[in-house]
Amino acid sequence: MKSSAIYKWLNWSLAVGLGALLALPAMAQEDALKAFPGYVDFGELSSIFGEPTVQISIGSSLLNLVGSLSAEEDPEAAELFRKLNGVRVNVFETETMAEGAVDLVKDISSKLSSSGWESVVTVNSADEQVRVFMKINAEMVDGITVMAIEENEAVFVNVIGNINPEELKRVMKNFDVEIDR
Amino acid sequence: MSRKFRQWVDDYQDQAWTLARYLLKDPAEAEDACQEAFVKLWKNQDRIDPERIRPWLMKVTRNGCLDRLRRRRPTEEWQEWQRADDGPGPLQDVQQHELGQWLKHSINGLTEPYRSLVVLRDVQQHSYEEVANVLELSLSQVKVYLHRARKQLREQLAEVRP
Amino acid sequence: MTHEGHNDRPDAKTGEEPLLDRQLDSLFEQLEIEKAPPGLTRRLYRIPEEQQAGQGWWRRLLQPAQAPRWVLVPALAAALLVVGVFLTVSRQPSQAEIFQARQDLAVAFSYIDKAGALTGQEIQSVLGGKLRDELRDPVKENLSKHMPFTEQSRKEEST
Repeated sequence: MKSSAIYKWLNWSLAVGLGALLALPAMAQEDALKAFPGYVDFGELSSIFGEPTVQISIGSSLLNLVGSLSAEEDPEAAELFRKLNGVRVNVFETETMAEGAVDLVKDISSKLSSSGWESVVTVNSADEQVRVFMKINAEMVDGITVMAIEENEAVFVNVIGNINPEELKRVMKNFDVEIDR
Repeated sequence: MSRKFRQWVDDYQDQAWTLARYLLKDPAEAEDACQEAFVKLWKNQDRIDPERIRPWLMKVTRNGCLDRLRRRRPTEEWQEWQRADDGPGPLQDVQQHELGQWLKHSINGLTEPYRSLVVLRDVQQHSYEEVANVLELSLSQVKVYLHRARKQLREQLAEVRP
Repeated sequence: MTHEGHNDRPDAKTGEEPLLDRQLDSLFEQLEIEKAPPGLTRRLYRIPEEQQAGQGWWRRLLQPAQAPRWVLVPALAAALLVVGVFLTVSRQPSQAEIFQARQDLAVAFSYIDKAGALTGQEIQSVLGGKLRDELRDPVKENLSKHMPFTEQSRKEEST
């Protein structure tokens, strides 16, 4: 290999390596979540829908902190958040119920069904496609996945952790936060 | 080798020309862009899978046209041009036989990659896979974007048809 | 995610879309692939001859500019130092981040709730007490009937 080629390779490697290393924290969190059975790989959503209007990814340490803040008034919430490993939300604006979006939901649904997820809600209509799946493990739920495609919005939610649905429902109901959207 | 290349010219020059015309509009530039693409085909013919000559050539033609457009205009103007404001606008009493011409203008009014998508898929009838290859998009992306492009054209058609 | 306006689309738009689609398809069929002009064909046919005549005469003279080696080594070292510091310092979330996380959770919950994932009483009892059992199809059907946003429940609501 000529020396000029070696230098070119070194420059390129350095740029790529630095970029990759600086992206480590976000990647690390996402990678850590992948290890859990309740994690769902939605694929390259941005490549289909463009930039998300809402993108949320909360890991266990933040969830723990959120829970500990409300430990006094709501110990149940604190306990629930302590057991959650991650909450991921991606929301995209769509102009219409695009065929590719519906195909994607069907693909993911089929993969989930064949890997032990239970289908809990299915809506198939011209106006909307909704799928809700749960990964059930003995007495707890390892993950909840919600996919919903409507005329102007596509939503992908994945809750990961040891979830007691009753607890989650109560906490959701009582979770009193002014949503600034 | 020359005979094989000549066959490729016979098979694909019309499609390359049509695509270049839609993108560049100017016939002289479109000719130059086509020639550049075929020169690249000549130089790289040993490296291209013979089954994939057509999408390869369309990709190179399109990229060449886009490069020319960027060189033609500075960056900000290029972005404005991408908005392609020489769409047909509202027309009154467009007769049926004029709608074909109207559609051509409408396609020119689409921004990239929608314009290339419509030309490749709806005008030239390339498969979805080929279109995805040419535009370096995923299959799902092609379908979603094509859906959007047709929606735009449909809306414009609804306004102008007799 | 909203459920408003599903029945509010202008009738003209809803009914006309397939018709417009057909009309668009028919117009596309009218658009032919343009024939390349004869001048272009001649130019393309000449390419092999021109390229073969030029081969061996042209060579790349300009080498890409390279940073001298002595620049690369400290640059690499600096990068490694940055990474090392980054990885070893444990990063605690700030108050603002915690606050934002609460907001984000509320948003996430609102989407889950809208999808009706956990609002049915039936699903609570089944999953709470009988998670070991397989969810049989009739059970699933029964569950889905009582979930909001299913066709069946909407029909029941409207009657």
